[in-house]
Amino acid sequence: MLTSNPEDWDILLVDDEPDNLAVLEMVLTYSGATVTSRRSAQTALELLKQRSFDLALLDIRMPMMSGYDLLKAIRDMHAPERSDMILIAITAHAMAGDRERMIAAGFNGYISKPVEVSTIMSTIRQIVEDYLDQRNVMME
Amino acid sequence: MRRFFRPSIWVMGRLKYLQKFLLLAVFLGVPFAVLRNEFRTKTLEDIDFSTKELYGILYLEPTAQILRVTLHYLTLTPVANQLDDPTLLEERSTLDQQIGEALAAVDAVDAQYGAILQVTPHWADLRAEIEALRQTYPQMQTRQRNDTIDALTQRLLRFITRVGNTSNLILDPDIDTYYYMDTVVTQLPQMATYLNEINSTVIGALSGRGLRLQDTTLLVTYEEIIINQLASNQQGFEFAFEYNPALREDKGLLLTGHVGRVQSFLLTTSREILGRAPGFRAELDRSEDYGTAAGFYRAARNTIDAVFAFRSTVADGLYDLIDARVNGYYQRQFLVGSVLLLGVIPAIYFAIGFYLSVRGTIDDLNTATNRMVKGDNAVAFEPHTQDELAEVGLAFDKIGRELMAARDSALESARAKSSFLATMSHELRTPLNAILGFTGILMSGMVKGGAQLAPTQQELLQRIDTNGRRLRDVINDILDLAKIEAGRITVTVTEARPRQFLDETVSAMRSLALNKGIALELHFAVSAPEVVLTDMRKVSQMLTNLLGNAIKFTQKGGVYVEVRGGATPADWQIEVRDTGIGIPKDSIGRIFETFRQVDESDRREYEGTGLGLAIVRSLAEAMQGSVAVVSEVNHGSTFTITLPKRLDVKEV
Repeated sequence: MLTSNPEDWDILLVDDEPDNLAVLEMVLTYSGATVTSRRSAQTALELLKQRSFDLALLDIRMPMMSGYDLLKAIRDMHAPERSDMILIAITAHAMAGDRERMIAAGFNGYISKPVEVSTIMSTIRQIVEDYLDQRNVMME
Repeated sequence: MRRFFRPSIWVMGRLKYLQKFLLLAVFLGVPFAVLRNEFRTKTLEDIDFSTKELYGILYLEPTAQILRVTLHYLTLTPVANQLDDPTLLEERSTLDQQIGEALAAVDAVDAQYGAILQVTPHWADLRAEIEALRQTYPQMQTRQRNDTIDALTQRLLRFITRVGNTSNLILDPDIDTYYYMDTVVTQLPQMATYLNEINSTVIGALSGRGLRLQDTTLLVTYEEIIINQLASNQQGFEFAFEYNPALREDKGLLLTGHVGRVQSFLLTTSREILGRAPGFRAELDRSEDYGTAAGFYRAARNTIDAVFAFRSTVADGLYDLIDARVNGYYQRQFLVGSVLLLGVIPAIYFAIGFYLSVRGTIDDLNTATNRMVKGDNAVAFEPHTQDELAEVGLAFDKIGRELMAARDSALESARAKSSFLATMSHELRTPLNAILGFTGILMSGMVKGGAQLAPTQQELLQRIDTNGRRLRDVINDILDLAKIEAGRITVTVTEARPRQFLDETVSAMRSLALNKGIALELHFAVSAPEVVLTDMRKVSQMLTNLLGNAIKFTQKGGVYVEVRGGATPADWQIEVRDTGIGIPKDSIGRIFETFRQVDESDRREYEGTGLGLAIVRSLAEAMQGSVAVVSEVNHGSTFTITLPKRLDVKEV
């Protein structure tokens, strides 16, 4: 059962830049989350065919297959546990209005690059809480 | 050369081509018109002058007839009375009748030309006198008759001279017409009166009283005078013929006939009359023709009539000469008028063509300029003429092409530079983000199993973080500007709600203001649009940049954002007002330039790349908007972005 506690989170991290991946991995791991990293959308998709995650953080700008493409592929899998995943975009130069675009595309939220170590966790937690609230409202 | 023409160049340089032409037209046309008018006036005067001469000739013809029949009448009347010869009496009454006819003939020409020639009153007087004389003359005594003949003859001659004067005949300067005129107006009438004197004297003698000594003297004197006149006639005609050889053929024989006839009369008179000693009456009867009063009268009368006939012929010749001259005047006037007209029409035609050709070349140049300004360097200027202006156009074309080539290569190199910058900035940013990320992790102590860092180590990490962030801001600005300059900026227009996305933008900056202890307020005016069609990411970026600057340069007070309608219904505005240090007047024009801050000291005190405002301006222009600033040192600055409410993406 997903909660807002990071220690319960099983996270898939997809980014083509290894250092960026490492920073996020360290922050999330330090918070107690279980982190699986992939450096391309293709390999991430391979993995997702085998198992599901609670959250997936997807870098938008990746060569060959972008974060958007990956999102579309996941939503197209028609497996309830896959399509139920919280999907968070990692985007550079995020500006006002980006949020709407991300939501419209099917993301639950976004975090902006470069990663602010001090605020990243609270941002992700907020997205998770919003998701949970929304789900609760829908269930009631 | 140029120095001399400087005033002319000065004037021409200030006039449009149409005005230049008008000026030239005035300077050429006015003297032209004056000359033409002078010529026309002169020709009309000439025509008028000579036409009067024609009228004079017409007028003199019946007047000469009056002289002729009156002379005969005056001479014949006493003789006919004395001899009581029925033939002579009948001829006298015929002459009386002819006087009446001649008077009527002069009346007719006087009605037509008298007023123009200004002789009507004089004619009226003369006519009255002749009429009166016809009544009184037959009853007069011999002496009285002689005086009357003299007086009337003189009056008639004076009248003829007067008509010659008022009709310009006497004033005419041409040699041929002058001598013809002299013959017609002066010599022949005069000669007729002298011949009549001879006639009157001889038939007086033959009709009874005999040839007295004074008669002989008189005859000799008149013969002498007439012979001189004939010589003078001949001389005059010679002059006329020399001047106008065509006349010799026409009147040469007639002249010879005239001279011969008069000479023959004089010779016969001398032989028959003067050849006899005074008092030898019997001798006088020897010749049939000249021996009797009636016979001599007829001989004299025929001679006189011949003189008048000759006079009429010469008068006709004079008329033809002057008539031809008048026709020449009319032809000259027509010719000059036609030539002027034929000259002026092509002049106007080609002047208009000249103007249109100049205008055309200038229009071509304008078109070429507009095309060049718009950046179309395919075809610049094609000359349609072969004149100097076309050379200017070709020179312009050459310059234009070279400038265009220079501009293209400059643009290309700018593009290459920007592209290089963009790549480089990205390459710089990625490792820097990693540095900042790892630094953050170390500072937060997020390394599992890591030891607690000493305060000095913490401080060093803090410095790495601060410098890294500063470097990242610089790189971000450079990347933004490089993208804009490289023309890689793409505007994505969507329906946006300013109240929503601008609130988000301002909120993102709130912590920055909060940290400095200054206010950050956002206010929507009543005129603020609810929905706009724009690229809200870029609007947000502009506002973020302006807010970043405003917060940076404000130490106390606050930063106030107002959203409202623009100066026209099609626009809307975002105003960012701060209470910061302001911008000096002499710097305000440069702040939107790339890499500009107010001065070096600012750079030290307030960190930043100085690219923010250049980015704002570029973005505003990319979205068909503008950004303006008013500022007062130590009181703050106000930046205003003006944007269209409905951004038409096709024009970007």
